[in-house]
Amino acid sequence: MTAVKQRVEDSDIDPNFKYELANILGEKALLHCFQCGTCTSSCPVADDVDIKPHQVIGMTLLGLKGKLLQSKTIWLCAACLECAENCPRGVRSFYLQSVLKNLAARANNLPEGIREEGEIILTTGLAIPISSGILKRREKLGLPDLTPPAAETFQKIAEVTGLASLLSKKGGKEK
Amino acid sequence: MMDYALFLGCIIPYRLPQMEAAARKTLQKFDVNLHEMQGAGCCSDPAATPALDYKAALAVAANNICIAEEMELNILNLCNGCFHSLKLSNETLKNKPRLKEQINEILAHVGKEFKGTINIRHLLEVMYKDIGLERIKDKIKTPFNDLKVSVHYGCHVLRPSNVLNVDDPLRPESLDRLVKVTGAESIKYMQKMNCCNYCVRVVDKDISLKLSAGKMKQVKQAQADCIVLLCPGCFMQFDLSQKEIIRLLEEEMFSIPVLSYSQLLGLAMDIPAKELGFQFHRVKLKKLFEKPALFA
Repeated sequence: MTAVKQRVEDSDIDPNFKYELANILGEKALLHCFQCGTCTSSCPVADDVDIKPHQVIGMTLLGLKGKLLQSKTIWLCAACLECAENCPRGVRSFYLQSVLKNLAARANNLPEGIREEGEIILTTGLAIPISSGILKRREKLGLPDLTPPAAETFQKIAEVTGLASLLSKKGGKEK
Repeated sequence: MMDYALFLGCIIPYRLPQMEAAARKTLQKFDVNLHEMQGAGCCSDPAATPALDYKAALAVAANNICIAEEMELNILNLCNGCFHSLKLSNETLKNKPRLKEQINEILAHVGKEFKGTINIRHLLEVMYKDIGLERIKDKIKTPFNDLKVSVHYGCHVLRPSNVLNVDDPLRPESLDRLVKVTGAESIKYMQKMNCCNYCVRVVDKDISLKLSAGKMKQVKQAQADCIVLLCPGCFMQFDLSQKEIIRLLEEEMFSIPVLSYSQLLGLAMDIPAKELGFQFHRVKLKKLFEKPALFA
C-alpha cells in the first residue's frame, strides 16, 4: 500500500504548499510535473522507498505537507541526480526533495546518520575526523602537512543559519 | 604551465591520501602547478549539509571558494563530491544576485565575501580537455598490454550536466579514452552508469551495500581486472567495503582491485607502486598487473 493511495482528509491538504516550495526553489518547474515517472524509473533507491520520487512530487502538488514532512523515505536518497537530469519537464526532483528535507529536519524528522554528519561538518569543518594513522600514511607518501580548517568559521555559519541548535539535538532531544 | 588552487576536501586527504599522492605525482609531470588552500574545509557534502539547510550549504561552499578568490586562482578538485558542491554553489551564486546577497550576509559574520571571480574545475576536465590525450600519451613509459578496466565515472562529475558541463551524462567518453591511452581496455559492462550508492550509507547502510552489490556483480561478469574511478566516495564503497558487498551476492568470494585514474596513469608512467599508495588499499592488486617491477 503506497502512501498516496491512503484516504486523504481536507485537513491534510495545504493548497499553498507547492507555491511555498516553488518559491524556495526559485523556479516554477515543479508545478509542471505530469507524473510520467521518469524520475522514479531512473532512481536507484526507488525499490526501497514506500513513497516513490514521482509520488513525492504528486503529493507536493496535492499539498500533503504533513504526510511528506513526517515521511522517513524522503531521506533515503543516493544524491545521484538522475531524477534532476532526466526529467522531461525540468522538475529538479533532487532539489525539491532537498528542500523537503530542510523542512522535515525542522519538523523533528531527521535521521541520526545525517544529524551526526552535519554536526561533525559544522563543528569541526571536516566531514571525517583526523586520525593519527592517516597522518602517518601522508608522511610516508611524502604529502605536505595540512592546515585544518578554522572550526569557528563553520560553527559561526551553523549558528547564523539556525542549524547549531538543530544539530545538537541527539535523537530529537537536547544533549 | 597551469596554476590551480588545489581543493582536497575531507575523504581524500584524511582517509585516502593515496589518491592525493597519485594525483600530485602525475600532475607534476604535466607542469600543473598546485597551490595549497590554507584553511579550506568540507565542501558542504552533496548529501548531508544541503539536506539540513541549503543556505548553510551554500555558505560553507562559498567560504571555501572565497579562499581561492583571494588567491586569484581557479580551483582544481580531485573529488567528484567536492567538485559538485563547489561548482553548483559557484554557478548558483553567480547567477542569482538575491541569493548571493543573502549568502554574503552570512559570510560577513566570518569576514568573507563571495565575489564570483573564479571557476571550479575537476581533475577529469583538466586531464582530458586541458592536458589532452596526446600529451598524456607522450609521457607513458610502459603501456598496459592486456588489462581490462571497468570504468566508473561517479554521479557528481556528470550530473546535473547543464551546470557541471564536463561530459555527456548518458554516454560519457572522457574517462574511457583516458584509460585507453594507458594501453588498457575499457570494457563494456551492464550498469556502467549506475551510482555507487555511497551517499545512501549515512541513512541506511544495508540498502547502500545491497545496491552496490548489483553493480559489483556486473563488473565480475564482464571479467574486469580492476575498477578505475575518480571519486573517493565510490572508492570507499568499492574498495573498503568490497568484502561486505560481495558477501551479499552469496557467490564464491572474489576480489577486484580499485584504482583512481591517477594511480592507473602513474603505473603506466612507471611511477613505483609504493609512491602511488597501493599498500594502503584494502583489495590488494599486486598479482593482477603486468608490471611486477613497480611493485617490488
